[in-house]
Amino acid sequence: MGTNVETPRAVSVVILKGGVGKSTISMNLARQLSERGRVLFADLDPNGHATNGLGFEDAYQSDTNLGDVILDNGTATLSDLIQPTEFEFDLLPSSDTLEDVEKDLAGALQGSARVKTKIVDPLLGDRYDYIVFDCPAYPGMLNNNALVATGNVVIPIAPGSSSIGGYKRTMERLILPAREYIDVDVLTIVPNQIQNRIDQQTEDRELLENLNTADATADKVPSFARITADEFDAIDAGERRPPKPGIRHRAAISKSLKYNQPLQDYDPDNDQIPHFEELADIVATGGVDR
Amino acid sequence: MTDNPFDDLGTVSDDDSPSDSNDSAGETPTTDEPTTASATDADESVTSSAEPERDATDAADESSGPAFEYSEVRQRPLYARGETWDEFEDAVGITVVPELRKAGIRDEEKREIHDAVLRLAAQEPDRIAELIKSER
Repeated sequence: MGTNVETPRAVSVVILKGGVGKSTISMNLARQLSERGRVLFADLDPNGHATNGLGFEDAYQSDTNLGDVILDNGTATLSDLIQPTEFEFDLLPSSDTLEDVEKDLAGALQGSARVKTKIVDPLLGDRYDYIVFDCPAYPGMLNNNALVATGNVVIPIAPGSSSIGGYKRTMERLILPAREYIDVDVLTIVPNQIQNRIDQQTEDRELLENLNTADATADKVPSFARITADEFDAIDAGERRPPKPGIRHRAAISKSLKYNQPLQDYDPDNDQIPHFEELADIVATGGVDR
Repeated sequence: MTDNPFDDLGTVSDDDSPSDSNDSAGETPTTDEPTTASATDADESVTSSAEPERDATDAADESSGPAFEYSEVRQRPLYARGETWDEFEDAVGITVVPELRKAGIRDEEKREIHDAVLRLAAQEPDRIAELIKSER
């Protein structure tokens, strides 16, 4: 592992909206990146969905948490916290006390930069080639830390107005304010949980058409969700079979977490795995390439 | 103090301006919402509203703050060999950054360096062709 990595990269999977698939996408992205290099998957979401989903309930309940490493009075080291998994990547687990860490970070000097200076700077390019952060669904110091530490974001988005609202909040409250201080690259915007046809006026169609036609987002859509305006016309004229863009709703994706596994390990033949591979490509090369 | 949640990153001392960052970000119909028209509008509105805030962060001298906002940036992947990147990063670290420091510029951004690189390359297209031919 870790042979062909030219540019180590840290990335945050973020959207200020729950239930869009942050944990699923970040975990499976980490899993596919582990085929290319050494990966740390960091769960910064206090709900611990990914940590518990991978079977690390004990770590989630542990007395040692992130705060013991990144806060001034901390007595633990990263090695006390990071756990190996059976899935080729290491895990920096969430904890049920992470919300307290959030409060302490708010009072700390340069509190937004703690994860960068204490975790990412010492580890990235040295012990790991890629670090993937699963972020909370609400704004706060943990999200700020992830953004400052990575400078790269992957934004999952699902059909429906509440998800699009979450995307807007993410830009307004997180990414644009951060850009007053640091460069933040949106590597890709990932349509997730797609299940309806796009040759009819569904919310799925609306999301995909908007993302694919807006100047600011069209370049960020992965190839597996890319449909040009001409292709939409051809689909509507019945000249072209409607494709199945985006990460599709699959029972195996939600089930895999119940069985404490990434999709690659739970169902290696699943038809959505190539999409997660493409996301890993995008992170490895630093953006969508057409 | 502004309401920008990232203000702890800068040394904000003398900012009492009423039009602070989060107000402008929150009130204008910002962000590249995935609908056809609003996306580019959003970027522009951010550009204009972000201008005065830059002073608050690091207003040491006239040249502080990047020459252009991040919102003007268009990301494109660049493909080059590892050793070329190394050489480039060394050149930036050994020559470009120290030159900037001598000129009193301490807050150069990646986007400014990349922009300058492309402008330099665009000025010498013949040289680019020569380099490629000589490599073959």
